[in-house]
Amino acid sequence: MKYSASFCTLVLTLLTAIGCSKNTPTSPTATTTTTTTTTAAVPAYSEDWTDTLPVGGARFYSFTVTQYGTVNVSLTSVSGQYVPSTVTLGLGIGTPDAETCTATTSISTQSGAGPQLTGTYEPGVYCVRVSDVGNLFGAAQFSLTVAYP
Amino acid sequence: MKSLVMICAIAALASGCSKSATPTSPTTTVTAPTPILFSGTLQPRTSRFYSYTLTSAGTVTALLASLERNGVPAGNSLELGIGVPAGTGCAVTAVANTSATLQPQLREDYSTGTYCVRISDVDGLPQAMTFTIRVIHP
Repeated sequence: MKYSASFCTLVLTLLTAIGCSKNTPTSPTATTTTTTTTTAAVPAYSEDWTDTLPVGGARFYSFTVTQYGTVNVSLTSVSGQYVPSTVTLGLGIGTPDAETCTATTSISTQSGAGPQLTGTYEPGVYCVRVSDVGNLFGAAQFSLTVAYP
Repeated sequence: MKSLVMICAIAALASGCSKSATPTSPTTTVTAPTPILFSGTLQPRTSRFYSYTLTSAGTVTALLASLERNGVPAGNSLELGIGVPAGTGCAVTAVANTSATLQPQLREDYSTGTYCVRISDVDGLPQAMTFTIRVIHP
């Protein structure tokens, strides 16, 4: 019985090795990997946006990037009654979605020369979003510049 | 001995060399157009817009599905437009002045990207009204 089982295992192994192979050997092929590096275009357009941000609110501004490149967003000034110029606001870049701007990158920042936000983006429609992160006690007037390729 | 070899061979053929995958017919998946319902309240002489993203190119249709004042259908005419989000609004590339209807008032072909639909009160509504816009896109 032990002999039969061993013999059967041997036959199975041989049949598996010689019986199931239908592959015709092929010559190895050379694979060439091409790496394309795209250079990000520098901003070619610039838009200034001035608006009023209510307490607890958010505002957004849409722009169109026509080629892959760098987008710079500068929150240049914030002012208003009960609003110190150093107040920290939310600043983000994203895509317009329904009635808002869904930010994919966001920070909390004070106004200044900037840019406070920068990134590289493919062609498409994007938006910059300014929001109150809980620091406002009155409506704030703000100015912002977005530069894009 | 011979019969033992035969049994082992049959067992091996039955279990090891099976290519039993039965070919199946390719299936075609048809994606139904996606509807968007944009509802809200429109104040007199104002506009509102709604952004959406097309992941495949195709025809976009838009219609003002309903306009109501205090729950009662209103026959006022509004400007319906479709276009691209720009600045703080929607830069429309096609517009139609229309009252509520179930027939598409706008039909445009678009490539993939982000677009918007805008509703505006140009003539001056007597008071705020609730609206529903239906956008169908691929």
